[in-house]
Amino acid sequence: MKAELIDVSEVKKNLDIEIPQDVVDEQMTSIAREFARKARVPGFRPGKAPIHVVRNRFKEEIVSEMMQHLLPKYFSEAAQSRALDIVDSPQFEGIDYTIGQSLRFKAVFEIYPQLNVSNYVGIPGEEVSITVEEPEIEAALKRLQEDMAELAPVEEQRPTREGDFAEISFSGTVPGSEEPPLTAEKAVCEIGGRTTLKEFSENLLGASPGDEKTFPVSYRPDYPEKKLAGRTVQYQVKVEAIKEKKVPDINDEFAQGLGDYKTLDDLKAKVRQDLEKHKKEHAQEQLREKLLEWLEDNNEFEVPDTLVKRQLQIRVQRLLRDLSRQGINPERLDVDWGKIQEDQRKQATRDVKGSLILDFISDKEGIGSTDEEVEAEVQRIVAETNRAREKVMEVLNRDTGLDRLRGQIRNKKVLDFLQERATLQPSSKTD
Amino acid sequence: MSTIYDVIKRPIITEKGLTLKENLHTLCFEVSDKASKQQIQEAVERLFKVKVQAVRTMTVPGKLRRRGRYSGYRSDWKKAYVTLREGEKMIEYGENM
Repeated sequence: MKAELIDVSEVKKNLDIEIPQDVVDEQMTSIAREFARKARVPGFRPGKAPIHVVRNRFKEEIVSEMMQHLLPKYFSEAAQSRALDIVDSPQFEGIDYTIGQSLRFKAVFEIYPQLNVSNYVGIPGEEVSITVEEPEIEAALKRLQEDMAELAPVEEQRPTREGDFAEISFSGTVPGSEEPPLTAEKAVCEIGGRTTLKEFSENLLGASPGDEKTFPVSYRPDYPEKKLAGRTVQYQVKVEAIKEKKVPDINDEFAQGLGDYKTLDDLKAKVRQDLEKHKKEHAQEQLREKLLEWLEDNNEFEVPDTLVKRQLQIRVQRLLRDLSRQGINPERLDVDWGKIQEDQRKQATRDVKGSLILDFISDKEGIGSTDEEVEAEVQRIVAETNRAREKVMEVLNRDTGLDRLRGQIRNKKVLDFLQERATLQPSSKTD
Repeated sequence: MSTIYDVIKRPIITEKGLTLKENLHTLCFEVSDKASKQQIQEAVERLFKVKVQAVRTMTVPGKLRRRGRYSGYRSDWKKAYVTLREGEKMIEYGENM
C-alpha cells in the first residue's frame, strides 16, 4: 500500500492512497462469490449462475461493495500508522479505478488540533460579592403575596372596575356559519388583564351582575387557536358575579400559611437565604464562563470545521426547539436565517474551542469522572424527574447520554480546577 | 438485404446453454427465424473465426401471454445449436470483466 499525507492546513489533511491490484482483485472475487451464492439471474436457478456471469451482471454493485470494504480499511490503516487523531469519518474523493488495475483515492478529513494550553493557572477574574438588599426581599415577598391571593366575591352591589374578575357565561357564534356556538359557564375573565381579549375588557367594564351584553370579537389572523384565527365571533355574555383579588397582608399569619414558619422574620430569613443561594450560583456560573472565555481568547489554534458544523447544527436545532416550545412556528417567522446561521456559527466556534481546551486540560491534569460521580448524578436526575431509575437509565443509554453525562461531570471538575487556581480580584461593583 | 451480421441475434446464456458449451463443444444462439442452417454455419465461421461441425435448429413456439381477458402469443423464434469441430478453440460470449 502506498499512501501520502498532504497537509492542507493545521487540521485539514488529505491522504492519497493506492491499493494494489491484487488486493482489489481478491476482494472483488470474494464479493462476487458471495453475490453468486444468492444471485437471481434469468436462465439460471437462484444461486446456480456461474461466477463469471454474476461478475458481468452485477459489475457496478460489486465494485461499489468492494470500495465500501477497502476504502475505510485502507484509510484507517494509513491513519493509524501515522497516529492521526481524526475528527470524523473522512470524505473519499477522486476515486480512480478501472477493472484490472490498482485503486487510487484521496481521503479528505480533519484531525484534532495539537493544543498547547499552559496559561490555565492563574486566570485573572473578578470575584463577585453577593449581597441581598432589603428591597429584593420585599419584592420577593410581594410575589409570594400575589401567589397567595384569592378571588373573593364582591359583597356590595357595584359595577365592575379595572382589575376585577368577572364570572361570566357566554356563547359565541360566527355569523353565517353552521358551527355550534362556543359556550362556557362560569368562566373567569380579568377586566383589563393581560391575557384577556381587548373586546371583553372594554365591553365588560362597568357591567353589573346580571347584565347581558352582545358584542363582536375579531380575532387576529395569526391567533394561536386555528379555529378562531382571522374570524369574527359574535358573543353573548352574561355577567354572573364580580370577584376581586384579595391579597393577604404580610404578617406572621401570612408566613405561617406558607409553611413551617413561625414569624414573618423566619420567612424573611428563608427568602434571603434562597436569594443568596440563587445569586451565588448565578455568579459562579458567570465566573466560570468568564474563565473559559479568557482561555478561548488567549489561545489561538485552528478549529476543525467538522466540529463547528456539528455544534452549529446542535445550536440551530436547539433554537428551533425553543421557538416551537413557545408556540412560534419557525417557518413563518420573518427573520434572516442566513444571519442567524452566521451569528450562531461564531458562537459554535467558541463552543468547540472551549470544549477542546477543556479536553486538553482534563487530559493533562488527569481529571476524569468516576463511576460514583456518574451514579450520584443519575440519582440526582432520578430525584429531580421523579421517574424510576430504570427509565432514566434507559433514556441515558439510548443516545450516548451516559457519555454526555460523563463529559458534563468532567467539564464541571475541570472548571472547578480552573476556578481554584484562578487569580481572583475582589470586585468593586456589587451584582 | 441480409448479411451474416443479421443472422445471429444473441447467445443464449442459461444453465443448459453453458453446460452444452462446456461439455459438448456446442454453442447456442437465438437466430433470425429466416436463417437457414447453411447461413448460420457461415455466420458463426466468419464472425468467430472457427470451424463448424454441425448446426441443429428448431423453431421455438411463442408462449401464450394474456392481459386480462385478451390473450395472444409471443412471436415464434429460432434457436440454433452449433457444434464446433473437434479441437476448435471455444469462443467466449463477450462477458469478461
